[in-house]
Amino acid sequence: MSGLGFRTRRVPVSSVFSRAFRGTQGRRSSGTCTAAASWTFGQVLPLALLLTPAVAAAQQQGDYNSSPAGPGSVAVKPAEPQPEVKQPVVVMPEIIHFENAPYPAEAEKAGLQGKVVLKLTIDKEGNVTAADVLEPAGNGFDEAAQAAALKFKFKPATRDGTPFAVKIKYSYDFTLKEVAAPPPPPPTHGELDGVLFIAGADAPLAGAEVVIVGPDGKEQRVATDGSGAFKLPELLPGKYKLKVNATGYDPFESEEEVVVGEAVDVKYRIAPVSEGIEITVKGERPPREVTRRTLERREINRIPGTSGDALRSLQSLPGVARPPGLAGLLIVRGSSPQGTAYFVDGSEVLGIYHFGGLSSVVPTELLDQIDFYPGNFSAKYGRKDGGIVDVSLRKPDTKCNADYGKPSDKVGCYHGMAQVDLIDLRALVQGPVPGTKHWSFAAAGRYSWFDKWLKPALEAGGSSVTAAPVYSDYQLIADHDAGGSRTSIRMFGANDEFKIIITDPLAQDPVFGGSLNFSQSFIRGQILNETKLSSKVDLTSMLSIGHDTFHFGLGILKFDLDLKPISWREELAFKLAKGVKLNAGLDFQMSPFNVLVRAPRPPRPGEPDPGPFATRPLRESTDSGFGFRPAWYVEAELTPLDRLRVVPGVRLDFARDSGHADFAPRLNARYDLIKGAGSDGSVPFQPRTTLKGGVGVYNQPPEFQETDPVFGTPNIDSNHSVHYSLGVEQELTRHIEVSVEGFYKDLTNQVSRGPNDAGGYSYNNLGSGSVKGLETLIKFKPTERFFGWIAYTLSRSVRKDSPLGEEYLFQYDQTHNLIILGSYRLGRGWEFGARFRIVSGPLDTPVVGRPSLPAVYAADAGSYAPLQGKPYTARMPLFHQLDLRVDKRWQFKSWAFSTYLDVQNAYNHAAAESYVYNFDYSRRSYQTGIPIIPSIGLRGEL
Amino acid sequence: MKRILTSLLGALALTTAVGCGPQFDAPSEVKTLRVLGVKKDKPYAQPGDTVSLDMLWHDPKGRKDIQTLFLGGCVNPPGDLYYGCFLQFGQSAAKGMFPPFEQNKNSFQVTLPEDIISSRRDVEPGQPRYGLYIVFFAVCSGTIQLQMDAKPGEGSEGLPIVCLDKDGQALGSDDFVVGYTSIYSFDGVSNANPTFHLDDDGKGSFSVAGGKDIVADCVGAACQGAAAVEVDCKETPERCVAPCDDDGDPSCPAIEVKPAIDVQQERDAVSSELFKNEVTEQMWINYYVDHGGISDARLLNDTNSGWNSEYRAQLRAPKDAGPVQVWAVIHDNRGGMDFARVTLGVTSPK
Repeated sequence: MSGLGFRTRRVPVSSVFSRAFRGTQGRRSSGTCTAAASWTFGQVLPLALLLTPAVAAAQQQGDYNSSPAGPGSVAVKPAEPQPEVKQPVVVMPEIIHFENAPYPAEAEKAGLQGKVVLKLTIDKEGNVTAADVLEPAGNGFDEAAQAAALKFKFKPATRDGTPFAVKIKYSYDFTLKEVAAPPPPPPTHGELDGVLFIAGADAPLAGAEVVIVGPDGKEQRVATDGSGAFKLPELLPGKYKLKVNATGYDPFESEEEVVVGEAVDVKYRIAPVSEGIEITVKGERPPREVTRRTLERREINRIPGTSGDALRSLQSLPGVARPPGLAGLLIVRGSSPQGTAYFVDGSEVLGIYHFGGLSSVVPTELLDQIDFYPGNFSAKYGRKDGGIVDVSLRKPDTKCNADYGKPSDKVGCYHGMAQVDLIDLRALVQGPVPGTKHWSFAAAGRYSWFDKWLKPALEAGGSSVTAAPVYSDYQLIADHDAGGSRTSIRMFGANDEFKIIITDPLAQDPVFGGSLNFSQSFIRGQILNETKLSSKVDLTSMLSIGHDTFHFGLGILKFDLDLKPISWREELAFKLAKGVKLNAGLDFQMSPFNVLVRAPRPPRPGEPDPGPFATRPLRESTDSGFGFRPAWYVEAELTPLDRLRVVPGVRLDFARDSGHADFAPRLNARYDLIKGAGSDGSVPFQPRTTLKGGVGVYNQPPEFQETDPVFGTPNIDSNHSVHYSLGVEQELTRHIEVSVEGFYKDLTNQVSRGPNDAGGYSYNNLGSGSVKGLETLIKFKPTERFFGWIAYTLSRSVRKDSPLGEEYLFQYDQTHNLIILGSYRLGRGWEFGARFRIVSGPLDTPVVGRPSLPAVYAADAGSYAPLQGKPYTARMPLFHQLDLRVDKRWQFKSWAFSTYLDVQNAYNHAAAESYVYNFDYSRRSYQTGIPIIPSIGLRGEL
Repeated sequence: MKRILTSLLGALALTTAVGCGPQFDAPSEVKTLRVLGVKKDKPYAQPGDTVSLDMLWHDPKGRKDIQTLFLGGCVNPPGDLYYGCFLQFGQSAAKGMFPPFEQNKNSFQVTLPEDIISSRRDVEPGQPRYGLYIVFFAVCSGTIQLQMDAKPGEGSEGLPIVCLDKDGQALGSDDFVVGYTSIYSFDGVSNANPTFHLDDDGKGSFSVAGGKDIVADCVGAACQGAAAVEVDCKETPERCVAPCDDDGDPSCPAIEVKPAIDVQQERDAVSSELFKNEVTEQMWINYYVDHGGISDARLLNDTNSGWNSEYRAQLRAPKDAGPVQVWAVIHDNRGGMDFARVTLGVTSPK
């Protein structure tokens, strides 16, 4: 599936046909008589279009619905024979002024009705130059019809956009007005109307075939007219699978729901035959949040410096701070990395990166959509006070391609992909499950191999560490789609492992010596179901059961974690009334767990260096139990005005481990100050201006070690915060949109640590803080050639450990973060992209000590403990980096081959990540980040 | 915690791989006034025990007026943090009770309070109860002063020991070292220091080039101020190396040095009982050299993988001829320590 679809739902109308007269003078209202036309779509046979083979074929396959032009039955034929060309786009004339003919008095008196068939000659300007009677009706009808028809005004017929003269048959009906029109029967059907546009060019896509399959399995086909429009009336309510077939364009699929008495307007952008594996990474639905950032698949694949890693691309969005080095941390709006949760289709996973940042655990090829909420997120999500990343896995692709990228009605085909780069090998296969009708599958896997070349490189370089991490991940998807409901069963997981014996312990702290053994793994079995319980009630369910293991051993230190997490989500969506939708859900997390920790008590960030750990007594904490964190939420989606959308919600969380319950009311709203139009090219462009804002309470339970009886303090409360945001989105052109959003977080009840009455240190909830900032995004929406954006975030994040404590900058505070990126298709399969970043340097805690003495010697360990100044008061120099990427793709008949070169830090800037000191901290320099790193990848697809 | 650990590990691995850090002098190269170890006769002591401490320090400049200091009296500081002692010192001094100290000696004795364990209130559930006594020490090429403030600076900023030159200016780390050592007291648990292997005459040895053993200059407290040893490279070529213009660089010629150490995989009784699993000490050895270069720290015993017999060091040749002193300091992770010295030589240029 490719391309972008979005939909709007209109209010019920008494007759779907009434819209056909919009912009015309179609309803005769004067007098007692009417010439009200009885448009029947099947009667419209534009003769000119009959000359178009594609349309003719479409007509043979089913009803052909043309765009209505006005009252009366119209047949169009070209004024002059046209040489047959390949798929000319011919648009029939459209009546824009209808002249009411006076009802002949004698005929009216006699109660006569009549139908006059005329042949109208319409010139290139749309004027009727002649109206000849082909089938007279007499009784004064013929003259009246002729006189009126000569006053008609048409939008002229066009061929490939060029007006030309035509002659058409026109039937003018004279009907006596009924005394009173009977009330329309209650609707029993719905309607699906749509317009197709060419993605990137934003031009209408004419002549495309639209195929729908209803809940009863019945198939209907229509073709789009010259304006890209199609209409599917009289549809039974239910979910419809919709496909768009157009030569030269990616196949497109969507699912739409038809409701009784409603007309669903949809607009799709259909992408030209794509370069790259199909991934749709954007799904539009009415927002329940103030801000949701989405990235289109092309953006994800091509952002320089990410090697095509979807989740790494999130780090280029506003509000996301640059993490140190290659770390895969997401630092969202001044929150800690632990403040952001990662979900795979609603099931939380503890980490989405191999080794904290090497690459995502879910490969880009299997992604359907990434939703990223930097703050003020919906009540659907909780337990975090930073941001939310929700990754959706894709539906397996079973479509067949006659030649690569060209659409076909046929399904049941298999696809594959294989890729190798310097880091890993990956493969994907997908298609239908043999012997079944509605089942499809996708299976993918990845295995790292860079340890094979890194080990000799390290040995040659004299490094004391001569081993490299190894990782793998896998995904298996089985999807059942029978129209009315969809069930997807998934299994996915990942493994990371790193083993080494460090025979040269770290001089700074010999605890970092001996056998290092690290491994982590997770596996999830997941079932998703979307069911329509009635025309107004939808049920979405997700159940996942998994197993997480984490082991870290270093000499005598040990951390073992074994979880069997169970996630259960249910959401009922009720359409209560026009403009009122209610979402009620539960979000349960349960997990039997075993944990073992052997370590000295760690300091909290910001505390002075406690000295080497090597000789400190170890503590051990072992715990087993059943973690249970249930939550319930209710959220309303209110659209009291066409331009206003308000989403109030509440969420109640309980954490059995801490024994605390958290209540979180939230309110988000968007208002179109100026309602936009034409961003898709359908009508003259009217830039949209939207105001948006939100306020809400967010709670984050303490971390495990903070409530652990040994390492922490039991029964401490959750961190509380209130998110405020206010912003504006302004379209400048069809392709450029600016959004500016200010945010403020009031952090209270923060977990902190301080001296206790027993002479030790314990955790408390006396911490506080705040984050304020401004996000600006100037985005050039993806076109056929180019995409890019400029993102700038200004922020300040501070903390206090106690009410009387001194305020200090938060560890991950980043004042300025400017990202400029773009990618341009040069043609012939070449694409070039660049990303440039200028970011405030990271913070570090300086070593100051007494005059001239920076450290004390910890004799037992044989190393030094720095005498540190106030936490995070030293900022490293400005970070700046240029990343470049070049892609080249070769397209063959049934497969494609591509390669890329992704160069991180192209001009090899030695960016300072922190201070690094000599053994006694008397000399310091900068620890610099990654040097220039080129990465080459090869990929084959079929 | 898990996410942070994972990220740190990834960053560590990658940083190591790409080698982005600058190059400083290695901690094993003694080029300034340094303390190399403080050995306690009882690394784990019982309440009421008297513990003797011996300091090993070296001044490459050979100055005769180096001052030393031992400062005791810090018991169970908050969080077991050394800088928690500063407030204790300040508050005691404000009451006119000065903590025990000793100046210009290389040894010191402290007696642990009888209630060092029982008076401790900060005990986590299920964890062993213990007491902690911290002793500070210093060496200074100027004049040592104690400056105890009743309200010392926060954290580690309140260090109460300073070293002043003749003009009253504070001296820095080239001329002044302050350190601390911890004496833990677990009820009924002792810890023996790791030891160098001594022959029947009570002398230690080092294995050098060609696997030949040579006698150590000294072992233990005797090493402090031990007289220099003459090396005749013609008679004992195995303990000599040719000079190198790059002065200790890894590219310089090297000879192996390996002290004879008693294989002692001592059981860590406290951890074994706590973990309900037999655990041995973690041990390592630090090497120091006054000329040239040498390996920093080497693993001796790992609780998981066992004894590492490949703990030898590589002495990389200095640029100047003459004697080269090599110290080996053995540590265990329970505060145990021992030290020894051997003198090698650099042949004269031909």
